[in-house]
Amino acid sequence: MGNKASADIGEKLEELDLRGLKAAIKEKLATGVPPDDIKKSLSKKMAEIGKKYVDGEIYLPRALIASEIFEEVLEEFDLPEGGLGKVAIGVVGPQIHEVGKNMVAAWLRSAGFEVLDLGILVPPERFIEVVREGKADILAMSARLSPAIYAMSWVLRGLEKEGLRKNVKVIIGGTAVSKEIAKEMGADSYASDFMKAVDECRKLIGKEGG
Amino acid sequence: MNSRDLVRQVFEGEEPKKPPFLFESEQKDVEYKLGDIMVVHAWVPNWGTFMAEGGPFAREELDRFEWSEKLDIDEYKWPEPDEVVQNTLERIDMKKYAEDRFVIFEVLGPTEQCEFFCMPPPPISFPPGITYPSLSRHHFDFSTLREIRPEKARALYDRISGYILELAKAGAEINYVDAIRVADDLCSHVGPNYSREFIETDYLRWHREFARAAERKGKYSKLHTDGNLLVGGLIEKLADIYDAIHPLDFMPKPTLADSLRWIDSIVEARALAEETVFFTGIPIEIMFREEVSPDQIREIVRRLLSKHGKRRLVLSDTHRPYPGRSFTEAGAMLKVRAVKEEVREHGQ
Repeated sequence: MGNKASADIGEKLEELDLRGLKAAIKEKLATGVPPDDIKKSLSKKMAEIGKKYVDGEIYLPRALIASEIFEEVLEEFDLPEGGLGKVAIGVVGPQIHEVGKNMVAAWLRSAGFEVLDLGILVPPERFIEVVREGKADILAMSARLSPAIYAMSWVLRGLEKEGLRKNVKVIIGGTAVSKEIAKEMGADSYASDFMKAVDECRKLIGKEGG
Repeated sequence: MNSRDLVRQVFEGEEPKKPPFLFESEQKDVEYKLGDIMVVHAWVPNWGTFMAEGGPFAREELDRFEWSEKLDIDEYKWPEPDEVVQNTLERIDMKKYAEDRFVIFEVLGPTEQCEFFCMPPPPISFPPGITYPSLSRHHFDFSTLREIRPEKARALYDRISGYILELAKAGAEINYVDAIRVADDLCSHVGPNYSREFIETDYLRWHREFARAAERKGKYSKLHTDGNLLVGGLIEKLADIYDAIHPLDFMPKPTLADSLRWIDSIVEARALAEETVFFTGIPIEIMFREEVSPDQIREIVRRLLSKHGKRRLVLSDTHRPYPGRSFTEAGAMLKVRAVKEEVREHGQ
């Protein structure tokens, strides 16, 4: 896709113009632009938006809306996913706060990961199950309240017990946890925001700097 | 000197013999027994149900854009402000605690209240009686409305702020109330959840009004807001408005090492808000973690007292215990005692 076409799609995403973006994508696809190129343009803009958020140039609401727009067009136009590795992500234990998890999932998808979103209220057993079934290279567990630390530790112990720990990398995030506690519970990584989650997942599969 | 006088001493900037305690709890008898301060929850009763049932402006299946367009805040049957004040006040009776305790009258701020108005129903039913906000979750729909249709968001914010102001004024009229607290989350640990423009034009403008309502009646003003206020110079702006800030919850602190780093950040924040009373120092996360011992809690308090000092400090939990948990649990009680022992020894 040429620069102008690419910029067009990126601009619509940054302007949070859902309808304009959908119209632009429809038009590009009709003129034969490969879906992969459209995904690349969107991904590039998502990385820029994420950086602006981290740098304090934009705030949570804009980043949140952009992530939802990205997810919506990815699904509606069946744009290609994956390539980097598979991440199973969910809010662990009896917790229902999902905004952070959803944003991490969107940025992971934009970075090229295939994401299996397990949702909220995910029983610890479910995380182990997806590893057993070979559905994840990385488990990403999110928690807002500290009681979930026990559920996260339970997952890690369960993986060890079943001999599955070597098959998967584990990253944790959310307001209840820290780098220190990730180390304490034996997780491989911790991320304090969605951009760091992408960087850390890249490192976990040995593809940093992408 | 009774508890009320001790806390007043702290607000007046005098060095107390020991810092006062606030162990905030849903169990008011426990709060009274453990601390020097009592918090009265003056949340609008009818609006409390939004946490368990979803708010009147929940967007349901609509995407954010359709919802923002269709939203009409006049569709809600807004009560008369007097009625709201009366309904709220008639449920409050803290007189029995007020004789010797410093009493804080808490209103829920407009930012959180707006999010609750827009909140979807929870995906699960809560057990009866549990409507604690930590169990509810909003999707920042108000914050996104502020981006998509700022004029509608501002109309909603102004409307709700008007009620909160009336409640704050009414609270300040109560003789036994010593301070007005506004609970209004603004940040996550990463930084602000709202745009700078919103903070400058709406949030700070109304919070100045709330603080003035307290001040006019000779009461202290206090803000409770989560997250990292060190980002974007927020703490200086809020310290200009309020007499006290709670809980200075700048980062996650589930371990001893995290908590000690957190204490250092509080000490740094002191330089940015020299005259402000800090309600902080006891991370609720670790009061209920078995892996953290009472001695380790003492270490956290020791670091705060030695590096920060006792001036303009109320030793306070960062949040109430999680639903179903209580300071009366054996493990938590040992930690409460450890905090008190450390304070006693520090004062000797």
